[in-house]
Amino acid sequence: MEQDLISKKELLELTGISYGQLYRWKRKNLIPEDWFIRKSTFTGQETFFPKEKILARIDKIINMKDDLSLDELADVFSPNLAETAVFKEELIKRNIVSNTSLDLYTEQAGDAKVFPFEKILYVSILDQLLQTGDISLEEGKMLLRVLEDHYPKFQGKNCELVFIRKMGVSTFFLLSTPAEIYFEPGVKVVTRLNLASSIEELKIKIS
Amino acid sequence: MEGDLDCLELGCTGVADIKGNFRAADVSVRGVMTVAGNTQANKAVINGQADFDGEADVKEMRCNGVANFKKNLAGEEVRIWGSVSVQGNCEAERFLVKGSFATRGLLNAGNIDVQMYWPCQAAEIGGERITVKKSTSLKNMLKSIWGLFQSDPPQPKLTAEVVEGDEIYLEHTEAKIVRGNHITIGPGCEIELVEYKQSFQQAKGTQVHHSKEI
Repeated sequence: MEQDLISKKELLELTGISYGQLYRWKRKNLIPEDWFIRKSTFTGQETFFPKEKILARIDKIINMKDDLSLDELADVFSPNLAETAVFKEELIKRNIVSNTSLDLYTEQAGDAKVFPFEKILYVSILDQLLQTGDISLEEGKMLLRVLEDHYPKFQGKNCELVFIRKMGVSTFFLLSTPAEIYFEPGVKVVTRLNLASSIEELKIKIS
Repeated sequence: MEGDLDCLELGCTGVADIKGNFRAADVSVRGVMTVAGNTQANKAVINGQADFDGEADVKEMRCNGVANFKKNLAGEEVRIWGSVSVQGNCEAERFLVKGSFATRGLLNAGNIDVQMYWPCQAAEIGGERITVKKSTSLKNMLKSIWGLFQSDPPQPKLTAEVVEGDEIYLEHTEAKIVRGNHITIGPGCEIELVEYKQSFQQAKGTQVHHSKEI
């Protein structure tokens, strides 16, 4: 997949950050190593970045750096699951997930007073897909089963959730990324969801 | 020592040869140390020579002598009185050298302060404050010793591809590109291109082929 790139110089001009800041954020692992793409140009070696990703990331860092330390920010951006847990009432009160999805989850996996981050992640993915209308309640149960059974196996590595439908039959699966996947024409890909960005969003919501 | 070594404190006078991975809170070596695997330490003081063949993660690294890293070095403070070479990338908040350094990958540190006694080399240097100076104090002494063998000791000089930072002061540096906010090019430099945001100064007789404000 060819992605839009932005050169380091353009990036600094556009965002107003300095070389020092960029290097500092790199040292603090706020910007992943593999986003630094080295290419040779007529002026020698130049560094490029995936445009959309880096602009979104820098925007987040600038907006959040007054409230969080750089180390805390690094935790937000890392694909590892946070070691936080939230009370059930708080999940509803702070509008992190909806009542419907939480009920569906407790119906299937049992009730609890405190939800660890992993479980909140499952519920919030369920919540997101229910709200967009991509899945039905019945399919939501299937989604939870897939996540509960298989997501822990990725152990913090990035993965993608794919939901397809064909002739009224639907199914979920998890895919380690980056990966390419192709379907026959009769298949409708309803949703592809990057778990790393779901984790990132949820961490921001909870913190 | 065969296998991995995990300890709180390692003190060694003489030769230490660690064949596996190495983890310690405090390391103190007077002599020679070699680590074949990865190293993780809070503080390492090396008087003599240390060779790290694997990844090195040392919060506070002090070396009076020679330190060689075959892969990457990460730490808070790297302080070398002598010479240091890193084949991979080197990341630290403070990178202080009196002597010489050579990095093959990216040298990325908040504060880089180098006094060169010997030729230095770097591919890419990036950070907030970067100061590279040539030292003069040892020159006469070195000259007298070196004079016994050959006519002139090698001149302290930094050769780099790219130097990028907020505040940059360079002396006796040969570089393709220097980019930053405040840039001062001191004596004895040869720079192809300087790109600066706020200020640019240049010593007399130093060579800067192109400079532009961005």
